Amino acid sequence: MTGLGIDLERVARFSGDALGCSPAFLSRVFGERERSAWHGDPAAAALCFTAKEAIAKALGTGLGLKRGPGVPCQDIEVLVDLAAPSITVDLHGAAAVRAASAGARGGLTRCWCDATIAYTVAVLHNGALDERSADARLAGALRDLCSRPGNRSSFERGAT
Amino acid sequence: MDRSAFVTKLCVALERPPGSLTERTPLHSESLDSIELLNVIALIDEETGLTVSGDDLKRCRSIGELLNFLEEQQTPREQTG
Repeated sequence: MTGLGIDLERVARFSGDALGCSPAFLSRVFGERERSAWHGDPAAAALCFTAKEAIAKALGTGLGLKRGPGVPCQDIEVLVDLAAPSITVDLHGAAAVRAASAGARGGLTRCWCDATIAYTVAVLHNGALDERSADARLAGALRDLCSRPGNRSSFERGAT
Repeated sequence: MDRSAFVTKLCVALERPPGSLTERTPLHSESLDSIELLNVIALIDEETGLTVSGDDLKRCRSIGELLNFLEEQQTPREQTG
């Protein structure tokens, strides 16, 4: 495994007048093919964003715009088809260069969304990681996370 | 650059109530999440043609400092008119 990234977002942030729907944001973060694939579904938009963010984290760079630091958002192309369901990822430009320099020869994403929340786990690997063992490791890590008392905390809203 | 108009648009970009931000408002960019940060960077790109990074924003302690930074980055011919 050469990189790991996780992102989670509320679907509401991509509907109506929310932040994820501003024209300046949409036109710079997403390409036309990506936006067309959503068919107006905010869950698809949210999933698309979490996949980009998770992959950028796996690359170790974070997301940026066309110029400047961070991998340009549109260099990580994510096509979401909720009807299939399927998700297709292609790395272009700086994202492809960064993946190659990090020794990543492949990757996988595991995504989930409903009307409320969307999340993606992205793994980059050197070609030696098979999907079954990657899934087993991820599932084991999540079970561990949710089951061990020492991993848990709770807090009241507004608590310092 | 119309500083007042930019602050108004920043309210929208950060989903703050209209008029709730001023040039003296502290800019805690490290507390912005990725969507908010990208929205701010996209707004700056749209309004000024400038690309700023998260580190650029961290160096600005207030919205006024951000505006000063942006005006310094703009070329002289872009500042007229």
